[in-house]
Amino acid sequence: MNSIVLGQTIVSGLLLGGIFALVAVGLTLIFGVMRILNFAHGDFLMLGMYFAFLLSVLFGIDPYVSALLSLPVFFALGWAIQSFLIRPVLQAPESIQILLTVGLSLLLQNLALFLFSPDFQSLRVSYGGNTATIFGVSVSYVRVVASVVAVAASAGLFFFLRGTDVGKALRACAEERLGAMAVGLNVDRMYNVAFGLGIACVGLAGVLMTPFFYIAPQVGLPFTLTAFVVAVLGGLGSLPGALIGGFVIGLIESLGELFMPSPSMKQIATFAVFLVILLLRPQGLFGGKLT
Amino acid sequence: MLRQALLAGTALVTLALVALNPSGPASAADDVKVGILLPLSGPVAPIGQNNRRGHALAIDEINAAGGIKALGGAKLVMIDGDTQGNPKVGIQETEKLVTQNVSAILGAYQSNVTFPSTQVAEKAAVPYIDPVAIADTITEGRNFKYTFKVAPKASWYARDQLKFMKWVGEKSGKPIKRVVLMYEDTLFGQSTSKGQEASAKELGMEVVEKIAYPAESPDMTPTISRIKQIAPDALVLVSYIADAVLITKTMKELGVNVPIMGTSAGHIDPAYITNLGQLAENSFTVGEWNPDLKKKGAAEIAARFQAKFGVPMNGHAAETYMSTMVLVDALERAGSADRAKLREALAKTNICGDSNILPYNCIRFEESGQSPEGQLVMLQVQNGKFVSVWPPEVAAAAPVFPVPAWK
Repeated sequence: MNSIVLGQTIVSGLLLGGIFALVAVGLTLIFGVMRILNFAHGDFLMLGMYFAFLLSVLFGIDPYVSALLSLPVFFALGWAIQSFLIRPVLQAPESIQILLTVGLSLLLQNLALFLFSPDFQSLRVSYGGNTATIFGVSVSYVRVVASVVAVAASAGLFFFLRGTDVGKALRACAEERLGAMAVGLNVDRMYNVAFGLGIACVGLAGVLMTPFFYIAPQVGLPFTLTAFVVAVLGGLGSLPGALIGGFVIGLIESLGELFMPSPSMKQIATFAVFLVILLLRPQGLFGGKLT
Repeated sequence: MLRQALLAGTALVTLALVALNPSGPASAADDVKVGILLPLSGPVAPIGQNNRRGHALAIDEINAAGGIKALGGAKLVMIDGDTQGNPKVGIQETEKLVTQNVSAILGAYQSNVTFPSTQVAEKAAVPYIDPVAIADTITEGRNFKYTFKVAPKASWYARDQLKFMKWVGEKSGKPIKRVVLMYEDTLFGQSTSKGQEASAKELGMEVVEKIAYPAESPDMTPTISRIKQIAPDALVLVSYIADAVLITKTMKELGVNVPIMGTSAGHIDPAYITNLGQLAENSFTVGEWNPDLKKKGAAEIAARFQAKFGVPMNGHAAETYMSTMVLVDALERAGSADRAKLREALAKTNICGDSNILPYNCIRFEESGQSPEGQLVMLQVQNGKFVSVWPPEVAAAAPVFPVPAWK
């Protein structure tokens, strides 16, 4: 084992961790405010990828322009899904809510299968393979951009919740739904905002991944699972927890790939660490509050 | 009224034709039924449907050219049996085909369906031609009389892939001595890599590392980084399409200049080229066939296939096409659609040279039913296309080797 391989592994783990974090931030925000487990989360990542892909193929739009465009589009999509699909089951038992989001996941995957065919696609951009070499470690520009933007978006969301009236209202809804209603907050509207923001985060993550990843209807599934691990590790509902958790899981996956007897066992490392943390801190690293 | 008259008229004409044709027992009205056993629905249906196109093209061409001459111009009729990719359904469908009086069965793409359905055909004494299913066990140690396997053996993929590596290394003066085997961690990757390891040892190459990886991985950088450090002479991969694409992209990112030796599957998928573009250049893969092989007719057949179905002809389709021609050849020599006579004729098959579009000289069958000369080809992506580069007797181009470094 030389230091370059180790350095490369740590760098790739951190870069991957940024993406994991942004996906999980959306998930944890939705759960924190609405107490809804969104099992279709990774499928919105897939939609984000196809969004960038289609804009590029049809109109020649660069994925980083698509990243900006994706924010309002996916916010609106999340808003619409919350007000038409999720709202009717908000007071329903948890099992019904889970069935709804799992059903939504199947719907989105099959819709993508129907609309975009099962073929694998890649968005090819001229700068996609460019790298810088620092102390022998190759760093891909597009991965760095994805990770940095992901962290910036998560941080932006954090300060939005802290500093703005809407953010404070969201936190109020998260902490005490009835109380928030009692003081005159429009809780339904706040839920639309929360779901919209959560979907915008994961959609953005999808767009940011397209320059270095492949696109297919089922591509979101492993990310849904990872997002849950990250969010629970950080403490479901905690934004800083999701951010840190993303980097922790990214690093463990990378190091696991290197140090486990075979890369196919890297998930064992991930889940072992996950179990240990949950045993010691069942509420997750940053336990339950939204910010 | 009119319809009845027409029917009666047709019947009379047919009778007259039969009476006028004293040459043999068969009449123009006696179609030869051919059972086509394939997964036409279910998860592998797209592959089954594409394999069926090879049979359909061959049968349409034979019928258009006047049918089976030795049987008075009898037409071939396809009777479909849909296995749904399921061995149990495959057995039922084989039994159904047997009772539908097919002269022979061709199928069934998947080895786990072909294995039990050949058993049913053997019991019922129906000739069964296997164009695509590769498992060695289909012909090994069973002493079947009615199974004829045009498909190469599974173990030959590794044999020919590694043979090529030895050949290309020695030819270019940059011998391949140290190889890394990297494979996706399900049964497909694991069993294939075992064969590759054995072949590498046989040919005197050192397997310096064996790496199993999960096919649905979001990132492979640490593993590729390790390969960069090991710096083998070649990287032998057994991958599906998603991981094949991700590995090549990561190799470019990390500047790993090691030739890629793919094992069909993901590396022969046209999506490998459409997804990677320039990055796909110079990757090698083992394959069954390519339209550019130096076989007269191969390119024209591929062109007719493309014109008829709107998709390029792949190795599976070439094998199903050629297997149908093996049946036609046997029917002509047997002069009968009788199953036992057909079996005798099949056993004496000897289709050589340009009549055989597969990448070897003669299709014939050993006692076991295996076509012994069976041979894989090596393809390389050159100028955005798969080009055959080995074996030299039939390859269209010379391999680009050593592979140039990433730009």
